Amino acid sequence: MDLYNTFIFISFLITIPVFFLKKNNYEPIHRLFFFIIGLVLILEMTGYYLKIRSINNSLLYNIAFVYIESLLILLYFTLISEDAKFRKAVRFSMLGFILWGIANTLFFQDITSVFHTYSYSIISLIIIGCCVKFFIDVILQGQYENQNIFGIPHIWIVSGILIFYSSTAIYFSSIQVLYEMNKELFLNLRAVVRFLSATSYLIFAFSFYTPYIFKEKTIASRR
Amino acid sequence: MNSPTTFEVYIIILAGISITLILAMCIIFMVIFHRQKQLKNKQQVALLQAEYEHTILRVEKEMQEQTLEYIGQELHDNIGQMLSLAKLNLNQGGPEQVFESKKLLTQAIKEVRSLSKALNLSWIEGIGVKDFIEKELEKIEKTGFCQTKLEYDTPLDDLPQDHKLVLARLTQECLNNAIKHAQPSLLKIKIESSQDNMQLEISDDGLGFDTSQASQGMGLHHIESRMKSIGGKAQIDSFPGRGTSIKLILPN
Repeated sequence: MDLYNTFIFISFLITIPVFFLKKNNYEPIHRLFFFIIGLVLILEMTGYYLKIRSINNSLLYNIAFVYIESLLILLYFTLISEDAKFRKAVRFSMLGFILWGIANTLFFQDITSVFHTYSYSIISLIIIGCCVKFFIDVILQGQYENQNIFGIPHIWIVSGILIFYSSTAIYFSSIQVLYEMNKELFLNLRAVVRFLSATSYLIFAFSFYTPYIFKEKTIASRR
Repeated sequence: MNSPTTFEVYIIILAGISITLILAMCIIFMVIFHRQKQLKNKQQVALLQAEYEHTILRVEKEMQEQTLEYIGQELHDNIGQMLSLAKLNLNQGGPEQVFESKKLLTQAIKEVRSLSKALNLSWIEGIGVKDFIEKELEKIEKTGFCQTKLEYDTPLDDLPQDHKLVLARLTQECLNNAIKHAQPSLLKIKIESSQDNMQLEISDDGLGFDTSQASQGMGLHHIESRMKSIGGKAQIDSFPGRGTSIKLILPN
């Protein structure tokens, strides 16, 4: 197990004690992220195992990382948004993305041998859009009004998602070209992306402790 | 044109990752900063609201104290005297004395009724500030302390209850100060209303004072802060030997 996988394993371990803490409103989201981090851990371990045996792991990364993880993140946005129209739009995007994935597999990129760069670029843009919409709601719609913003896990999670997807979209979209150009430079870039990725999973895991660390202070409303 | 080398592509992608990472962080920091600022503003508004409520409560308390003091004085100096006189007359027993006692008792009953009215602060709700001022000036006239004059073009009866209370209390305070310190021969109150604001001016032709003196400054600051709490302001003009004028201004 390399350092990157160790960090994901640590993130996974960090999410476990939350099940035994005092219950709060973030339980369903915690279960979702427990599942996402668990999925990533299995994905990365299996990917690592396939790599050392020199077996092409594109199918695994395409299905688990490009499609399932991205769809789960979109599902997360439908769970936290209070805007019915936005939730509907995200659900349509999820359906559209699945259809696009099938079309991409059938007509453009073989799912078993090539990383689905087109699909990843599209889903990155959709997820970044969801993050921006979330932050707009926080500022303009007064979401989480009267609460200490640092004590809300969603702020940390969406920040982690935005940091990861916005900075890695370029890398994953051009991964095929990079891999073929120069292996050493590709590995350097991969190290940067892995650092960002590990940081994001740690942020997701720690975010569920923030309501206990930063107490959700509310302003006593008068009258 | 030469095609980019592998290293150049590497640098471009690394720069792209860094720039987007910085942009994402900027967005997050901006959101957090903005929300914290919003929260701070809300806390400030809550604080101002609390201060306002505190002012209103204090004004009510002071009005009650003032009223009780006045009632105590009236009971002792006025009604008490009437009842003692009535008792003395009745003790003498003559028909003339009985008639005089009846007159005194009727007067005492009238005074008690008017006093009981003053005990209830909520009466301010039903009347205008002008009516309140009229009664206060009447009291001063009755004592024979000085002449009073009231000029108005509006009775100020459509103001919110809190504003009425603060204006009534400040007027009472200014009149008390004039009586205690200014030795005026005339106390004048003028109520004017324009499109932009409403102005209540309390002036006297008494001793006046130096507004820059610290001991006076505290009282003036008190008036200003109370007017500020209801969204208005106070203007105080005075000079030793030339009387005092206090303007209480409320925007319409």
